[in-house]
Amino acid sequence: MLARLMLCSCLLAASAVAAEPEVLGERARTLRKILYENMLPFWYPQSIDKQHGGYRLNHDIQGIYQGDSPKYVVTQARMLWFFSRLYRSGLGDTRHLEAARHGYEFMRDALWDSEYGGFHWAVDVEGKQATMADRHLYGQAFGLYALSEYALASDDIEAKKLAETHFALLEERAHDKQYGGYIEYFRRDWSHAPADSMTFFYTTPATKLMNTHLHLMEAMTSYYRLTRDPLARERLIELIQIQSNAVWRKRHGACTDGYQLDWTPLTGRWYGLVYYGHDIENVWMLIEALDGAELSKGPFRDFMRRMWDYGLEKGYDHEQGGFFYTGRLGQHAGRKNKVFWVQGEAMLSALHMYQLTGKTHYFEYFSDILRWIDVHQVDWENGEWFEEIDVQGRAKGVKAGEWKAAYHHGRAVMECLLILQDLQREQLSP
Amino acid sequence: MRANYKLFILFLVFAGRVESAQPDTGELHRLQTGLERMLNENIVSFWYPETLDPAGGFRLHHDGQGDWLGPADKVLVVQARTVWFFSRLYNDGYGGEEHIEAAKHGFEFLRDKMWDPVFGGFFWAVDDAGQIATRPHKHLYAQSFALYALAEYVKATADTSAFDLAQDLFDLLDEKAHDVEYGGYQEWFLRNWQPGPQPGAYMATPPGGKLMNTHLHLMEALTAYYLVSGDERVRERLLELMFVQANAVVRKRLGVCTDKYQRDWTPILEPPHNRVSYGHDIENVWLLIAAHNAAGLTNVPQRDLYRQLMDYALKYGFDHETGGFYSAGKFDAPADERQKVFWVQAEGMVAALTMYRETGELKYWQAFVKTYDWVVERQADWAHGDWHAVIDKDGAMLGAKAGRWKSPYHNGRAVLESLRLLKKMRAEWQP
Repeated sequence: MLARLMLCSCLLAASAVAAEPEVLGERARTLRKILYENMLPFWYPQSIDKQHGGYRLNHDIQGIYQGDSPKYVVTQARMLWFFSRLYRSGLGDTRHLEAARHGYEFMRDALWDSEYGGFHWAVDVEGKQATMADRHLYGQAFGLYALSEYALASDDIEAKKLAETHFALLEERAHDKQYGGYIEYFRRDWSHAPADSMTFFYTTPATKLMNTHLHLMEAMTSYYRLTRDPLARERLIELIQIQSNAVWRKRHGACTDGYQLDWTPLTGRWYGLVYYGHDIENVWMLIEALDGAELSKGPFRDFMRRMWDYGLEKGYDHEQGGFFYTGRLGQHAGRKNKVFWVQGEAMLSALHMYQLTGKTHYFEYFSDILRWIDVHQVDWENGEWFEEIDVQGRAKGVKAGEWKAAYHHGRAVMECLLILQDLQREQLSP
Repeated sequence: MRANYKLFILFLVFAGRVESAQPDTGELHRLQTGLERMLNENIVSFWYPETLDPAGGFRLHHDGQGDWLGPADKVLVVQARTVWFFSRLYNDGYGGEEHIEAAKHGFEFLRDKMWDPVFGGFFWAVDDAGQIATRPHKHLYAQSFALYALAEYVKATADTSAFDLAQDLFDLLDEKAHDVEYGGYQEWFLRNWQPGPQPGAYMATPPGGKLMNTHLHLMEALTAYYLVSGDERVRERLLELMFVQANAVVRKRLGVCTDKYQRDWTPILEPPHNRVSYGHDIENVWLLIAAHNAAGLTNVPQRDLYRQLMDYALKYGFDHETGGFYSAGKFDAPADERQKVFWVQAEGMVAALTMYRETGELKYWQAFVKTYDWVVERQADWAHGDWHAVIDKDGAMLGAKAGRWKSPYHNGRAVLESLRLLKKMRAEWQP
């Protein structure tokens, strides 16, 4: 608490310079350096699997390729999203659209199940056979997100059609008309998995996760931007309500992950955890979702502020910057490792909050997290970010794999650059 | 086989327990009969024809004994509420032609005497004859009741002039008062729709700020107006108001609503604003449920919020001995204003019954029945008609029967809503 107060007082002193043009320029330079000198050289062109299609994502902590491995919809889609967004944002060029096209073809031809519809969870390296064919909505969400972004980037009518087919399928098979949100787990043929079976997230099939619905909201935002389909907007509104209310433990001010079908919170050891990264990510995704659906953000400001307050009080490293990983509901962080995606999402969330509220302490947290990333999370020697820095300061994890791709932190860097451009433009206009 | 037998026994025990815990047909019959008696012999009989003013509109100026105290200003909030009541009475099949005539009588006064022909919108108050606007400025709280009344009246009569007026009012509010930047509405204006003077707001709206109470009734009005208009623009505003009422005005750590806000929805919590009004919170619960139903959105993801608000009121603001809800209290503390105000009991009945329907939880059913029993035994004035405005903590009966805030809207609606829900329960009843 003392540390927090001290930081706050420093920030107040610094607030006068928080967003002056040279400061914005300085932050943008750091971000560009990370994007163009640390991230892009790692992911492009080496992640493109020219032999089998799709992306090869199996690199150890030094960035050395470990050989053939199954291809997962989550990370294949995330790479497709990354290259598409890189191109569409103007931060990349036509080579990156080509890289996206390459990934899209693999998604369409190998991961999409032409028999039953939807995406397999994983296929073998050649894309010939589904190695994990069950449907989890978490994976489907990334499929829809990537298809939508690719269709926006490329104007490819066929990609848009596939996204529409996918949305209609999720609407028919998985949308929960009774309780709202989505049923998350199905067999390959979209039949319900037995009640005692275990999902890819070690839950029962009748569990709803905040995490899954967070990414469904993200996907629906993009899909609605692509199609302007009123039904997609209705689903987006429902997901906004879920993410701003049902999954929030109001007495504490934090989200928990597990729910029964009717959104009754699951309790106990496993579900009493707060993932600071998810909460902070939820804030900026709600901002995007509300913008996408053309709804006012004003009524949600208190909620967003409370989410941030909780994270800052319980989960923030006020000495070195950045967010810790998890903590029990209402308590301070128990696991204090710094995970790459948490830092990426938090940096972006802080800048969004600054843009929304004009409160300079959010800009200072943005700067503080960026500093941590630049100094500790980024591997300037071998490229890309370290997956994890443990409490002793040791780097751990892999560079690319079943869960790690260029999406979380790549997105954070790109979106922050775009917001900084907006802020600079606002300063220039009289 | 043996396992199946055990399961069957278990099922019987469980089913028996559930059945005995539910309201039975006898209880439903008792409540329906009692509410119908209250509607006809205590409420309608007081307001009709007594409050119809031959000179136009309604005369609403009656003391605690129900005696008329002579001419008084006609105030939009209660003129509109009384139009609403007679319209709804008719729409629910409890009123006859004479009641829709009474609604028409009130509607014509709204249209001809209270609508501002120069700047649009309704005056806050006019003199008894409707000749002079005595309080001509525009507050959204009152505008919302006008829209609410027009919508219910349109439903009863299909009167196109009333529909046109409702549409004009909605468009005007959208143009003059809707806050595009922060959501919700700016509340307080001069007669000519320039920003209102401070101080002097009719509702103690903070300078340039917003009230939960105003937005609660705007949500109520747009719910009704959306149902009769089907206008997608109305639904958009309704959605925004639902987000305001389900999020911006909720102090989430406590599980309560507070009333005062800056324009950007920053809560103003300095004393004396750090208090809870149980009636507004639970009214918010059932009006949110009604709004979701009207907009075609599921209520289930919001149940956690509804429970939180209801359970707080039941914990700190409910009289578990004699039934009924207290008025107000500090945060996280038992009620310190323990009088029983008529409208709080009315909204408490509907909220508790609606929550029982929404969740199936017995505690809400019990809260409904206990509040109903309190109202029948204490709040209702069977000697002079209608409900006592206030029963103080020592049991004394205080307040007027009709006045600038009191009309048949809260208690009349509570009885009609409860009857509607109880009749649904009887229709769905499976022994």
